[in-house]
Amino acid sequence: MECRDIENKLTDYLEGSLPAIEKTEVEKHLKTCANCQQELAELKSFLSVLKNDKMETPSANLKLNFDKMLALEIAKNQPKVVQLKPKPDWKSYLRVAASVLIVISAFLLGKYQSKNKSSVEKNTAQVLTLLEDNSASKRILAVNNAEEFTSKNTKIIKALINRLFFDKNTNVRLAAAEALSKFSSEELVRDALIKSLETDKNTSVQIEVISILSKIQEKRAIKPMGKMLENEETPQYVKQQIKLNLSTFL
Amino acid sequence: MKQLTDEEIMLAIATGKLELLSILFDRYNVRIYNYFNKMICNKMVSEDLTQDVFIKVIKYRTSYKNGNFAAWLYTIARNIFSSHYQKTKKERSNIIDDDKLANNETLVSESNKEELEHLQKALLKLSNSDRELIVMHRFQEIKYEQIAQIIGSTENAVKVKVHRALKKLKEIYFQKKN
Repeated sequence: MECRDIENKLTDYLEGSLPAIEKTEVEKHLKTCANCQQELAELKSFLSVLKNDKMETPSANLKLNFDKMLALEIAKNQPKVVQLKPKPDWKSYLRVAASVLIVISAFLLGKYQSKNKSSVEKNTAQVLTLLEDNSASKRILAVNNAEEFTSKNTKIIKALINRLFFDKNTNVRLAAAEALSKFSSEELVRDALIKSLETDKNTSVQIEVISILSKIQEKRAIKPMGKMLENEETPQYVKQQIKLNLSTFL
Repeated sequence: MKQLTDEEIMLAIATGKLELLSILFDRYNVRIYNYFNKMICNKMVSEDLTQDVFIKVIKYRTSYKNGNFAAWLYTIARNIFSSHYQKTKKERSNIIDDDKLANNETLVSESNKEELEHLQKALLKLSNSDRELIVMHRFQEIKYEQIAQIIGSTENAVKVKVHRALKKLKEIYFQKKN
């Protein structure tokens, strides 16, 4: 083997990467060749110099500039993606959720209120119609139902007073008087009861109205009651009722 | 998280996940920078050229076809070095050596600083292709097989070329020193 061939193998020989056969060949040659021995020594020292050379670290500018460049490229290459996929903004989600909630609650509130209102109106209309019904029992039912309404419902109160004054059926007038006693805080009702005492000829109604008026301590009833006591046509049992009730006023 | 290979990351970048390039940058920027710095001996320019390499990676990302990523990256780096070399060739003059050495502020300990400066001088006396082989094989420890891929040659041819280049460098190194 010539020196040139050996020289080419010296690097691998030094680094121990030669196959065993070639390695022994090189070693055999080195023993006899001074030139190659010198070459090997030089190469050895030279390779150690090369090994000493360490990689340098680039300045921080390189990374900074790269990051800037990459951010620009991302913005440039994916403008649509940025528009289609905005970052989740929880504040705006909350705002939307709050407005949806407000709309729904307003709707439900409105629906509930209008339903309530309409049901009251519907019931009023129903009771008012029923109060005019041909059947006396239905009118009594309507009067009893009318007790469920509040004193604010003047339509119902007026209808009840109407029944008290003009209903041909005694039982309906009695029921009306009883129902009206629930609304005795209204001046309108008190006036009506006194008027009824003066005009109604039926003794049952008279007795019922007397007891109601004394119960609500309506002083204006004393005068018509006195008149009834003086009236000879007034039956004895009515007079007894009047006397009993007049004592509660004093 | 599973360590993704360079190739997997590069394929993801090719399909639009540009932000992943920062992983490959972290893996390779020092090596690419040192490749340039050994080739042209100028820190500032080396940083600029390293930056250019990664700009080209983005620009040509769709042309990457599943091959060895390092080989692909070095191919880009070589092209950039080549065009830089051609561009500055006209400006080159006799003061070239002084210029290069003025820029060479090697950060090494005092004991072997002189040695390495001398090595750098010797390295610059080599031809570009010889210098490149030594930089890749000796300094960057790239295997013969991969260098063959990068420069478009066979493994055996590269082996022989590296040996020759190393021998030349050694001769220049000892000539000057002695």
